Amino acid sequence: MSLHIWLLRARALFAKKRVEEELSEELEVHLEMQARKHEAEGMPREDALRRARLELGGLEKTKEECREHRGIAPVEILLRDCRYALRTFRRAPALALTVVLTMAVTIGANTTLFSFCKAILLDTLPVPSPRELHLVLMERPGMHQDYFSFLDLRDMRQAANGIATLTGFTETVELPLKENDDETRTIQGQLVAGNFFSVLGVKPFHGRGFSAADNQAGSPPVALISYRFWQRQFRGADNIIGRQIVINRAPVVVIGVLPRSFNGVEAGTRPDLWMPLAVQSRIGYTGFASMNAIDPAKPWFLQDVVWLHVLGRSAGDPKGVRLQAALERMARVQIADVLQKVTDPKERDLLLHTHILLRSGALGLPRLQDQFSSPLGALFVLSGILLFCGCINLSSLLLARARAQQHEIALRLSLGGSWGRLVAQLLTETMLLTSVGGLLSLPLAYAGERMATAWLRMGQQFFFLQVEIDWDVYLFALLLAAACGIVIALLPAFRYLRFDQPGVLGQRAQAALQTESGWKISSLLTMGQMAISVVSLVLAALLAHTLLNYARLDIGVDRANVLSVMLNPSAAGYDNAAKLNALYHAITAAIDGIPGVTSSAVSGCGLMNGCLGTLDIEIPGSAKPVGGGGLEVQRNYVGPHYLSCVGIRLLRGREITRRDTAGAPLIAVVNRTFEKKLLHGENALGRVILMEGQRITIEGVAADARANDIHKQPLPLMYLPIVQAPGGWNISRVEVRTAIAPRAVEQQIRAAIASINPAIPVSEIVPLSEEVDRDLSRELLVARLAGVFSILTLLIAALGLYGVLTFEVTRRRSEIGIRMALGANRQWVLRGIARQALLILGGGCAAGLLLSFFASRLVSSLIFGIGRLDIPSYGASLGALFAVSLLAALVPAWRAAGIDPASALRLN
Amino acid sequence: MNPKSHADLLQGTLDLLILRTLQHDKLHGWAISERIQQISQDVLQVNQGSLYPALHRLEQHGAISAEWGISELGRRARFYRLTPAGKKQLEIEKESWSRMTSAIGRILDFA
Repeated sequence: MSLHIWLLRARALFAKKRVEEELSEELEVHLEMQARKHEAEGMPREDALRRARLELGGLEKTKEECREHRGIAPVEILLRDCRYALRTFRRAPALALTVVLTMAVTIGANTTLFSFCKAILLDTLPVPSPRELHLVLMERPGMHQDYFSFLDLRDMRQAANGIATLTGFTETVELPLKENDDETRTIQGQLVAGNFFSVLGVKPFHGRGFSAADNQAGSPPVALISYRFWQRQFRGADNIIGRQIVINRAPVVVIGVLPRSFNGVEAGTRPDLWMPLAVQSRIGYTGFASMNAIDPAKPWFLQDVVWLHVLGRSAGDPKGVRLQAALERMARVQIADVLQKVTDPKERDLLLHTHILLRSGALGLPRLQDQFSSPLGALFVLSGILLFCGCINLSSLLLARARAQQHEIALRLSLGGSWGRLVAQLLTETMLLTSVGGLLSLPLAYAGERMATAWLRMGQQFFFLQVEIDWDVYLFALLLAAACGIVIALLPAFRYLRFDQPGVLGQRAQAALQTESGWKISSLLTMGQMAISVVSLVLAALLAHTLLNYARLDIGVDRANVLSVMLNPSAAGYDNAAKLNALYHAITAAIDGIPGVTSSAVSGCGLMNGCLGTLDIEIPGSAKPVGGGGLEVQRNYVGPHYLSCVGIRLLRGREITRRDTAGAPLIAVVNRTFEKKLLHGENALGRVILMEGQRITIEGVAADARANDIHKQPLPLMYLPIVQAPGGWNISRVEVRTAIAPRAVEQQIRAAIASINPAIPVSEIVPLSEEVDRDLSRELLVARLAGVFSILTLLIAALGLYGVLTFEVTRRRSEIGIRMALGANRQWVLRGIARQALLILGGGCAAGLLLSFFASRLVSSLIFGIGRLDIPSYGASLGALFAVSLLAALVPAWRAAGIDPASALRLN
Repeated sequence: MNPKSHADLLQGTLDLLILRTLQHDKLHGWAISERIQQISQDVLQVNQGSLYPALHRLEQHGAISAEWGISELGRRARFYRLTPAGKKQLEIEKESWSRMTSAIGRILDFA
């Protein structure tokens, strides 16, 4: 169709008055001419005009026929229907508002959740053919390991030659970047094998990628930087290539900028730069690695240090079957070699059951995915419940309205209204409401997405997750809700249309409402709503109770009054025992002088960040573990009075003090688990530990603390004086005990450390309680989301109950009026309404409790300290439902009791 | 013959007659009906009630276009003219008309 015709139609639509005037004018001119013709034939003027009009066959009829050809009739009808619908809504604004809000909330919340889950679980890396990427795993009975050494990677490359290309990369770590003479800032970086970007298929936006020469031991350090880092740190400077930056006191040359879309390979992190593995020793990289038997003099990538994730791309073999087979063959050969030297049957068994597996690398390193895949089932059920409840509300409300309009529909049909037009009218009304609600849900979805990301971040400086509103989900939820509303709203409409018209018309409008079946459908729907609200509430309550249990859990440290300061002195040149020990003394002295601070202590490892590695020791007189090797323990090098500073109780002996100097006898304080597990409950005091050639005497026993991970039982742990560490020990933390709110002294602590040496990077200062919460980020996020979803569900269900009872009161208005006129009192009326409400509520609760018992399985991996049948959680849920339902039932009950018999009877 | 059925018979051909009338001239509605009547020597009476809907329909289909001009009475009138698309349509309809009349002619001769 040509533009010309669209213009004509647009004109007909938007300049309707003008077009109408022109039509009248055109026809008038015609009549005038025809009349003159007849006058010329000798007819009087009056007759000539009448004749002309007759010949035209009626002015209005001709006009209407002309209008029909304008091609805009459907649009005009739609607009008329919309205007009619708006008038209807203005008459019943509460109903329209309820429908719109229900739609907005349910669709907004669901879009948020699904978009969020998509970002974590479905969004693949922005690289070509991400499905060809695989991560290599080593599986042993009871454990998975996804770390390997560079030597392993070399073997794997050889085994997979011609099948796949393999590359390796480290965890994302925080690195100190020198900004000017006295400032360093912490950035995120990752060390990668030379072929990392070519395997991923990511080409630099500027400059070049890594070459083979960049990855040689001793070659000058180079780095590729992210697009964002280039913009933020260098303001997008053109001359960035070849620029020198200083990382941990080592000069590094920028050789390229990566594309804007590339944010690294791990959801939740966003590295600023990538460097070759060979720079590890130059920049003093000490990220995660299995710490056994590292020769500090040699670069890690030439040793058997386990520190790399292995990622492979197998083009033409999307499932990686051949790659897996090749790696498994290689592993079998290597294990057969090792087996010749191993005699212990348990260790042989372990080796025989070691396999190489692959998992998809399409999403990158799936840390967040692993963390959240199990609670997602629960969240999806909760969001499904909300959507279902919302749909039921829409349906009940529209059903009620359709029933209320029954009389009007019958009247219009009997006056010759067309069946199709009535249905179109109902559809228009429903669609109008749902689309307004759908539009309103968008800002809600955006707000919700921002809130959920903040909950996941929990104040972590470097957390990053790319979340975008998922339009497919939005459309799906919108259509589902609209379809639900339409179907149920139209069902009664169709029934009325079949009615014997005189019969319906014979009834009064009030009488038309008195059909029992509609009421039954509504109450059943509301009962279902109540039942699934119970499920939603129970799941949320179980999670809330879990959080309460964690909050009350004695983790062995005083989480309320301790502030953790994270810093890295080695980045400022503190590299030997003398310098480090002098610094520790200076730092604690400076911090202790701040008003409000009770005490402070340095430590090599934090309490909650999981940095404690394990190592093997020997204890003379204690049995060696089966399978050879030493006893596996964790250790933490700490400053004087560390235990009393963080609030770990001392059970026996003494804690580390200033008297334990570098030259004094070597001592250790061990935890209760150490004593129980490694000494079989014998008294540890006075026992000797052999570790890395040192003889250490146990001088104290401390209570267990759930350090490292709040979810796990404590492991054997020893606290060692930091000044006695051979060669010195770089700290990562200063723990500060305060007498006032911990956050209040943050600025003074920063100033105190800067006064000692401004070059020492302080990455973060955070109260211990917040660190514990980060450890619980999964539980917190799920509980918060569950809380939001269940509260929304509860409100919607209460709204549904309110609607049904209100309708019931309206329906039975005349009946109530008659009974009251015959002597029934207000109590009788109230009892009646209460009985209806309790019937719905009771049925709903019974079904809901049964469902909850099965649904609680979904959160069984998340709950702590309670069983799936936790009575307080179920009780609280039912209590909340009863309280809100009572409020919802109160208004209609009050209205029923207030019915004036005289006026109700007059209405009939 | 009943004039009403006469008009019905002409319904399908009205478009053709309008297009042919406008082939060389720009005319308003009344003039079109007059012209058809004159040329057919009063055999064909255009039903004026269906003329205007037909004109509006043809305009919507893009076969003719309309503009305001001054009529012989000195009043504003809506003048119609053929568009290039209308010229094409006229050719097609003329051809199918002559095919049909010759076919009907053959049947009549044969019978």
